[in-house]
Formats: sequence, structure tokens, C-alpha cells
Amino acid sequence: MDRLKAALEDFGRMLLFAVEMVAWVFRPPFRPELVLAQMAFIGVGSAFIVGVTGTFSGMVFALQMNFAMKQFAAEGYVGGSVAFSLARELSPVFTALMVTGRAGSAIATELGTMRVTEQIDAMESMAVNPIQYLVVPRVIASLLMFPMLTMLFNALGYAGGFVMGVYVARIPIGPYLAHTQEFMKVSDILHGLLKAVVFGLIVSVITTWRGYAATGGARGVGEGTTRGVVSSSIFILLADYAITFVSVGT
Amino acid sequence: MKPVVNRALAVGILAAVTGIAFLIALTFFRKGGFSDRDSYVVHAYFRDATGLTWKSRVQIAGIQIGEVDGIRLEGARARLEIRVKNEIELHTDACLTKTYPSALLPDATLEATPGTEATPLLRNLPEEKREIVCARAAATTQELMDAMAKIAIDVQAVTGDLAKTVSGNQGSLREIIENLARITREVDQVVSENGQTLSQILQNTRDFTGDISEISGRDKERIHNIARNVEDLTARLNVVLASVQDIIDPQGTGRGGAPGARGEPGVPGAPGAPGVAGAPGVAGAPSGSLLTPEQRAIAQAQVGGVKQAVDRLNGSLGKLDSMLEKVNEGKSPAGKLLVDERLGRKVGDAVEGLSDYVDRLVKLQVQLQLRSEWLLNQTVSEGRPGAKIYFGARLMPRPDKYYLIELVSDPRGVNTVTTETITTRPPGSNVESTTLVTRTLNEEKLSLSLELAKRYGPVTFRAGIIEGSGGVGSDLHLLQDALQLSVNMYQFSRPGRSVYPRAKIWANYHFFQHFYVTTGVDDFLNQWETGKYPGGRSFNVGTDVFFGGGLYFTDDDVKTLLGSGVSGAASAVP
Repeated sequence: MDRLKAALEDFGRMLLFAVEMVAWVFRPPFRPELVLAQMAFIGVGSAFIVGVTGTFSGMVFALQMNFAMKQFAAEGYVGGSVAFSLARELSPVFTALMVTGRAGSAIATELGTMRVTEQIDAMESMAVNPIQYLVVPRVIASLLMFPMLTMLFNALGYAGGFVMGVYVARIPIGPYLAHTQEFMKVSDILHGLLKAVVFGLIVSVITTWRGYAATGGARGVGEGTTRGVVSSSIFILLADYAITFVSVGT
Repeated sequence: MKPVVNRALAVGILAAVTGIAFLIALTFFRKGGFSDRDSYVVHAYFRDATGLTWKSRVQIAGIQIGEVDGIRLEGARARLEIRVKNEIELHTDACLTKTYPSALLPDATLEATPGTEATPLLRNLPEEKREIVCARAAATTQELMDAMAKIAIDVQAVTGDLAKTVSGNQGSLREIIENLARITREVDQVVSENGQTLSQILQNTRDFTGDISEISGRDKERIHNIARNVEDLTARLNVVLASVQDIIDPQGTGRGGAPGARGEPGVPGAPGAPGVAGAPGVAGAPSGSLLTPEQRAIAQAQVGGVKQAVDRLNGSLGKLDSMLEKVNEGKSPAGKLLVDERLGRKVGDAVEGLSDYVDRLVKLQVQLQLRSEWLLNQTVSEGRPGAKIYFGARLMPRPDKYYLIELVSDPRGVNTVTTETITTRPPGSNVESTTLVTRTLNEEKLSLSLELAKRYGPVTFRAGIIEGSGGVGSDLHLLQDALQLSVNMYQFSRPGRSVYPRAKIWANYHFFQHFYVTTGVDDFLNQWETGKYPGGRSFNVGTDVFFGGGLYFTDDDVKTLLGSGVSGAASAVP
């Protein structure tokens, strides 16, 4: 009971932290260089792992779909299926999970270390708001970079699927592209990008909070990092379900 | 700040790449043409909108012209709002058909027909009146399957009936077809076997009818005359028959017809024809108008004779019938022969064996032959003509097989070995001594050849007794049997002499049918030498060249010659 109470209290404090963070987004001074630096760290730094993941996900998914569609002599639908699945589900979720693993853990560790080494306290003593200085740039960078990385995942994933479908599985290129165009709508892309924004917000808020609230030295930093990554992953999946449910329905 | 710039560049590149990807996707996936400005809305009612959803395709000839903009329920029907491109002209008599492009996928599309130009355009009507009244659904796969199932049941019933009809035993189609096939085969066989005969018959019939037509056309008057004559003759025959009836039955009572012949078993005999009643004026009436009394008396006597002859004939037939019954019962030897199966089979075997024997005898050909060879060395050494004479016969049961029986007179003579037992008793002694004395003697006498010959193609092999000793020989027939090359090997041991076997090689050439010339070498394995056994005549051994000739006749020729001779002798007898 105490643990549940503590968990709920922790969740409430995280929400207040998020609200405070939102408030500091719109208050000067604005520090674009910090945002840019975080964009480079979160976006550019994760581009490789996201690209590799996207490429191989598309390839594997194309082969699997080809195997399934071949049972119905409907190999031409592989392209549409791959594009549709990538755009709406795979790209935002996988991208968020990858970025969480790479950048989210780093954010939590960095802020946690700053907390336990009293650097954040020193910042406060120098009248520098740590949320505005440390958290807001990371959140803004995440909100911007997650959709970009998701779009990268989409492009490389579809390219990998195209190579596998057309050049390996020998699916005619005409039906492959035609059915992709037939299946896909712009709203599907936007749907995925919307998820990416939400996931960016979730990952950045949770991981910065876990670092910001870390206590107990190095061990507390480690625990905060772990909890940040795990919580982010769980909330990503929960949010994915919620968004899909709201947009598609039963 | 350097790192910041680098980061900015990196972020810019990433943003550019992802932005381009987004723009491409936006362009690639954008479904234009169905905005309010680019399209107009029509509506239709469907009783069943299953498979149709928001954005379902509306197409003409497979090309998309619109999409479903909304579906809602109105009463018990589904109202579909449909956006159609402005450039597509749909008329008020347009039709929408719900179809399922894939039998596996549940998605339906709407296939539109634009309607006729005589009717107003829907686009020009107020939106509430833009209704496509003709809305129907194509048959679903399930409906097709149900229909197919019903058809399959009907087909099954029909095929079942057909199978019963075809596979039945009596009166079935199969039996009819088999009969037809059999009849066709038989007719075909008859026609093919007797095609020439049938053609001949048809030709003969055609010729015959042609002749009849020609005769009837040419001699029409004569035919009429013949018909009149036949008519007249028939009238006269009636009178004659009346007279005969009068003679046979002067009282004119008339008799019933002869009973019908006894029918076949199970079929009763047909009743006899009713007797001809006595002709008026004949029965009981004198018929002096035709015959004189004397003629009638003579005729009646003749009729009485005929009756007696018929009675005797009946008696004979009765006896014959009795005899045949005995034969049939197997009581007499002839009957046993006919009835006893075992005896009959034995007689059959015997007759068959006799027939084979006679057949072989008939086929057996006998060829008589005479041959003479003039021996060169023999003539020179002896100083007298050394001629070797052969006389014999070939018995030929088959053309490729013969038995040769031949008597040979050889000037070299025949060596014989004799063993004598000489018993001597010296004078004054009671002891007898026995001495065996073997002597070889050369005698001038005939020797006998008995050979069996079998021909295989151009080669004949012979074996048997050749000139009194065992031997073998072979003949090679060339030039259609005109040339014969032969070799003999016999006398493998000769008494008192160590020499090689007697080998002879020669060639016969047939000039005419019954004559040939010959030449060859006799005993060519040994050198020529002359010797003399004690107490015997001189003899020769070794190579000797000979020339000669021969005659031969077959039994037909012999029969002809004998027949000529006999007839000549008969004619010579006064």
C-alpha cells in the first residue's frame, strides 16, 4: 500500500514537474543553442541506430508479408502492407524505443549525476532555473526529433521492404507500388508522426524527471536511469494503444 | 561554438532528409480530386451495404471516378454519399453495382454505369435530388456457391440416371451400343471379306436388270405373246388336270388334302390344305368329252402300276427307316461305328495316321542318278580306262533333306581284311597247333553308300556310309544350284597302310535339267602310288584327277518315261 502510495506520489510529482516544464518553455530567456545541442544529441546521434532498425524492420516485414500473401496469390499487396504498418505503428514505436534506449538513458543518467553531485543545486544557487536550463531544451529537442527520426524510419523501412519485395521476392514492381499508393493515405503518415510527437514528450519528460529526481548517489542514478527507460517504454506502448484506439476505434 | 555549428549542420541534414521523405510521402499518397471543389456529391440507397466503407472506391471500367464519402442508415436502407469527380458525367439513369473484386477479401467496390445522354445530368440537379436510383448488388461468392451447389445436385442426378442407363444389363444403352458395335463390326467384316464378291453381285444385278430392261423394251410384243401363251397353257393344264382327276377318281368324290407336314418340336403342324372338291362335271359324270374309254382304261392301268410302285417304294423306305433306327441305336457294326465314341475316335486316329503316312508317301520324291568319273592316273597306270561308276537314288521327303542310296564301282577296288584260323597237326603227332592268319585282299566289287543329307541355305551336310566306310561330306550350292562344290572325307583307316583319310573334292556344273559335268581330285591328301596285296589284284592310292558327268531323273520323270514305255509297248503289241 505504501509502495502504491509512493508510486502515485511519484507520478503526481512527475506531472507537476511536466507542468512546470511547460511553463518554463514560454518564459525567457530562450536558449536555442541548448535546444540545438540536444537535437543533435537526440536526433543526429540516434539517426544511425534508428536507420538500421528501420531498414531491417522493413526488410523482415516485407519477407514475412510476402510469405503470408503468397498463400492467397496476393504478393502485390506486400508493398501496401509494409508501408501501412510502418507508417502507423512500427516506425513511431520502434523509433521511440530505440531513442529511449540510447538518448533517454543518457538524459536520465546525466541529470541524475548532476543531481547527486549537487550541480543542479549549484545552478539554483546561481539563480539559474535548472528546469528551464536542463529540461526544456531536451523536451523541445525530443518533440522535434522524434517525428524526424520516425520519418527516417519510415523511409528506410519502406526502402528495405521494397528491395526485399521487388528484388528478392520477385514481386512485380507495378503492383507493389500501385497497391502501396492505393493503401496508403497522407493521414496514415500524419498519424504516425503524431504518435512520434507524443512519444517524444513521454520519453523526454520521464527520463528528465528520473534524472532530476534521482537521490542516493551513483546507485540512485542507476536506479533512476533504469526506471526512466522502463517507464518510458511502458508509457510508449500504453500511449500507442490509446492513440490507435482513439483514431481507429474497435 | 564550433561544435554547435557542426551540430546545427547535422541537425539540418537530418531535418532536410526527413522533410524530403515526408514531402515525397505526401505527394505519393495524396488522393486528390475528391475535395468539395473538385467533386460533386450524389447519393444512393442500398438494401445491403456490407463491404462498403468510408473511402470505398467508385469506378467505371476499373478506373476510380469517386469514393464513398459517408454511410448512414435511413429506415431499413443504407444511404451512401458518394463523391464523384467533376469531369465524370453521371445521368439520372446511372446505375451503381456493388461488386467484390476479390473472392477472399470482404471489401466491396461500386461499379458505376454513367447512364444515357438523353437523361439529365445529376451534377445539374439540386444536391438532394442527385439520387442514383438504380443501385444493385452483384451476386456474392456465397450466392454463386449456393447456385453452383444446386446445379451440382441436378447434374449429379442426371449423371446418376445416365450411369444407370449405360451400365444396365438388359435393354440398356450400353447393350444397345454393344449390339450396334458388334453388328457394325460384323457388317464391316463381311463387306471387307466379300467386298469384291458384293461388287460383282451388284455389277451382275446391274447388268441383269439392264438386260431385262433392254429385252423388255426391245421385245415388248414378244413378251406379251409369251404371257398370252402362258395364259392359254394354264387353261389347257387345268383341263388336263381335270382329266387326270377323272382317271384317278372316277367317282368324283374328292378327298381331303394331305395332312400338313409335322411341325417342328413345339410348333404344331399346319393343317393340310382343304381338298379340292370334285370338279363339276367330272365328279360322277362321264368325262367322255376328253378321253375315249380305251384311253381311259389304259390310263387307269398305268395309274394302278404307279400306285404299286409307290407302295413298293413306301415299303423300301420303311425298311430303310428300320435299318437307320438300328444304326442309330448302335446295334449293328455300322451303328457301333457311328455311335461308339471310343471306336469312332480310334478309327479317326487310324485314318489320320494313314492319311499322314499317305501324305508323306505322296510327298516323297525319288531321284535316280547315274554318275561316271574318268580317273586320269588310274587310266595311265593300269593302261585301261579307269572309270568310277555311281548308281543310286535319292529319297527326298522334303526339299531340304534326302537319303542317298548308292552303289559304287571303283577301279581301285575294295580292300577287305580276312582272318583265317589254321589248325595244323604235324604228322605222327596228336597235338594240333592253331594259327591265326590275317590277310588283306583287294577285290573288284561294288561298295555301298548310305548317306543322310540336310540342307541349310546354300550348304548341304551329309553323313553316313560312303563307299563302304564311315564318312562325312558337304556340298555348297552356287549360281541358283547350277554349280555345286563338294567335298567328301571317308575311309579314315585303310588296311595295312598308314595313309591319310581319303578326301575327295569336286565340282558339278548343271548344263541342263537332268545332266551335269563334273571334275575334281580324289584322295588328294595322299601321294599317288601303286601296290599289290599278296593274292590280290593291284591297287592304287593317292591323288587322282578325274573328269566325268552324270544324269538324274525325278520319279515324275521316271513315271513319265515308264508310262511312255508301257504305252509304246502296248501299242507295239498287235
